[in-house]
Amino acid sequence: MSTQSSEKVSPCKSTEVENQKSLSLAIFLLRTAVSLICLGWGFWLAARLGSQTGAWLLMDWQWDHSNIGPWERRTGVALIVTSVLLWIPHGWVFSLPVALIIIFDAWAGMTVGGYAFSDWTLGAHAGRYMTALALFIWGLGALTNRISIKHAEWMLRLGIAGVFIVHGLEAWWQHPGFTDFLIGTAENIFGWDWTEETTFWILRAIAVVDITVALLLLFSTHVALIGWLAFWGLLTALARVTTHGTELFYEVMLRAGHYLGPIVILFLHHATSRQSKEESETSSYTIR
Amino acid sequence: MYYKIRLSISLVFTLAVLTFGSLAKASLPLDAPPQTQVLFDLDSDWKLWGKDRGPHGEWSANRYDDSAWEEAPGVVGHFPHEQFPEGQTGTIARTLLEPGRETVYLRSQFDFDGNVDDQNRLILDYYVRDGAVIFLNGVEIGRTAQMPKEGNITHSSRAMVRGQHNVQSGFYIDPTLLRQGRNSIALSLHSYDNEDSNFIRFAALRLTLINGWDTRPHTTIPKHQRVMWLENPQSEAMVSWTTSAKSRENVLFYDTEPRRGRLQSYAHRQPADHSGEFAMIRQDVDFGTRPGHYYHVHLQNLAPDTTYYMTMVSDNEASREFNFRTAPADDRPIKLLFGGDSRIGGHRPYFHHDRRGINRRMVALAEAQPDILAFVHGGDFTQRAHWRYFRPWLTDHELTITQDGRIIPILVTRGNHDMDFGFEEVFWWPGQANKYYFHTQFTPQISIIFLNSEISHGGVQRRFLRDTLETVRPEQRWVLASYHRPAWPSVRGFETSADRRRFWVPLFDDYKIDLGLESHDHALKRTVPILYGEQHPDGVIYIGDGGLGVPQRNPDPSRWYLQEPGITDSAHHVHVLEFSTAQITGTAYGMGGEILDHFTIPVRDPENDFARVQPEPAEVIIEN
Repeated sequence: MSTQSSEKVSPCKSTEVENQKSLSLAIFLLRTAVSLICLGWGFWLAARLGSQTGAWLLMDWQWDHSNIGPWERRTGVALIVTSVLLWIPHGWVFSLPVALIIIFDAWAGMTVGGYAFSDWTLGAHAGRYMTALALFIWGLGALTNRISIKHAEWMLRLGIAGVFIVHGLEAWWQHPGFTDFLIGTAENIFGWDWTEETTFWILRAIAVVDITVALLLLFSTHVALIGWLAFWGLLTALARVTTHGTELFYEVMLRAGHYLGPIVILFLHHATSRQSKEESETSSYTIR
Repeated sequence: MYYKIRLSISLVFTLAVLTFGSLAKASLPLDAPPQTQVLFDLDSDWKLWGKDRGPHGEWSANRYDDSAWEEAPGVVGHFPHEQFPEGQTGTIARTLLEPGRETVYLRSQFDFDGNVDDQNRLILDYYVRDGAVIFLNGVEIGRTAQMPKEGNITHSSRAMVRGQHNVQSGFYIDPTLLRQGRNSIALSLHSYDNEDSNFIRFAALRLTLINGWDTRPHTTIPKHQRVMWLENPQSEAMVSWTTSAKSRENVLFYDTEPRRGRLQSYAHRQPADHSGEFAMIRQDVDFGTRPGHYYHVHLQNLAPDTTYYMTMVSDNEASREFNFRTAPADDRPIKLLFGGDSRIGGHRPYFHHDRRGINRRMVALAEAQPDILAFVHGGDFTQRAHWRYFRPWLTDHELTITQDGRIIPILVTRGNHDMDFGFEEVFWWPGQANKYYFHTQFTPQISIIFLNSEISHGGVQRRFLRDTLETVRPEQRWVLASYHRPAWPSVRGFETSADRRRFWVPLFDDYKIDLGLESHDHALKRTVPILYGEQHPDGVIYIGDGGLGVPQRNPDPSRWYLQEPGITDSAHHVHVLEFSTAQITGTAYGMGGEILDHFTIPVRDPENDFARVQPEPAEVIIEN
């Protein structure tokens, strides 16, 4: 843990300790989320599953495919290594290139297209790159004492809200992958034979809930809301596995920001709100 | 609270930009007007070589020494006055060619001091009769329809038919072929080999660089002729074509006898059932794409195994006469072409050498094997189904028409890059909307089930697949499935194909289909026979993975299902599948005509749980 705090005057020792615990846990979970994203993405690339950037280089830049594959695998290995480097002192700096790689790949996906709702990829992947950016923002704040943890929290809130809104819209418009997740999971887990018509209404309901909770996240960090976001983020990430089997485990890792991100938000928010309250009373407590 | 409101507004704004930015772009108004620069015009001067033998050396190259060539002011032609299409009447030929000059060569040079980028369109218009091959800086950029579609053109090459319209207008050329400074334009002209017409009637050419959109005059000359089949190729067909200008009256004249374009002689005429303007988004406009108007005529109650001759007419412009043959209603052997992935690079929607090369291979195969009945396209026609991409695809697809005007009907599989609205404009079929999964009954014993890998696999489509297999498998000798994304990929991660293996492959196995046609991975493959996830003599063989011009990827030959007798390679290709009573014979041809794979699949025995009649499912002969 490289979370640092500088204490000037503490009016309440127990509150400070609680804040420190919340922050430590939040940053631990944030690092874990970014590490999992790196591992998931790294395994994906190292296993030759391909990337949108690779497709873009092949099609738009006419690169020879024999040159693209090695670059993808090297990037995959680098991401796996980064998942470890994130834990060394000042390792948070590696989260910036991770975020940039994910953003670039999302942009390449928008450019090349070839999958449902490809135009919305930047929004759909916001939970991945905003989680990495949140870690970077936190680290930068800890280093410079200029950027507050509030910014990191809001990066996460924006990212999670973006993912839920985009996925909510995709559910409203019957993303074919979501339909098959529902049908496949219902068959595999419960032995139910759901029709596409059934999934139509379920997806409509999911869409309404997704968009509603995303909007609520902009105004509230109520524990029930956060609990739902984390639960749903995990459930939808696991849908890849429940539909197709454990061979798609890295898809679950890739989406770590969806289920760990909300919990990080909760801890960050509670720590900083207690801090704000005390600051308003004493103007004497600073967390970097 | 203020902080929350401010961030909330930021969020809403950011998400709006992220999610709707690309949609909003489509409705932006046009900005700067186009700037047009004619680099070489119809009456520009030429140097001419008209001797009995061809010029030595690289005569079309930029640095070629043409000092021994004659001066030839343009236009070059046989008659002093000639009427060009598109309203340019009375053009005066300043260099007259006497009869007997069956092959002549022209070259000229022009200077270019600008820069080209993605905003530039280099457009070739040529007016030639009879045949010509055109070069820019030594690179072939165009060949008239009268010339052989492939192979080297020599001094003795002749135009194979007499030119009619003689005009190819609006041919997009890759602008990066232009060089700073001196450029050369060259063409070889070839007369039609006929005693009454062994002269070159005229040759003129215009090369225009446009920065912005294309403002050349539009016409109603029918282009992009194609025939599409869906469920009943014995009795139904969709005949379609395109014009650049909107046409009010669009009629297909057709008959079972050739009428050579004499409209009053055709027994049938049918107006377009569906027509409209191809929708254009902002990027289409930015690219300078000429508008296009589509016309679809839905022919029904056709006779099986019958050749239909047809001429498309849009307002006062008529096409040449084309023909196509309906599928037979009996159990005779037939052949099909199969291939997928004809899309090309993202921001380079020009006519493409590799796609044109494989199209030329297809037409050569169709010429050599007249029993090829149709062409199954495995999907991913273009990078996106927008008009700037489909227009050059349709132009390239014209190359698949044989010299005698035979159009090979196409059956379409929808791919992941075909999901935009343009696909439904180009391949319109009543009742299909955007689903595009269907069952085609080629002959009483041959079925292909077309699936759409871009919509839900497990829902209605799986029920359709199960119901269809239940009906056709017990009754028919050959049952195939065509879908774009593979179940058994040769390049991409095995895990990325889980949907197909989860929802469709178990049905393929249960009903023991004969062959799976796959695309998407940009490679060549044939799997070992697979049954319930393992190699099995009675299993299903899967071929594909897409080589109709798309850049090829390197496959992963270590996968168990690609081991011998399976194969995989990185090569552009098209398959010919021959269906007989005893076996399916498949051959994958490379762009140059080389055989990349050859295999046979024995028939199944319905009395023995559809086991293969022979123990060996595939006899493999690979010739490189």
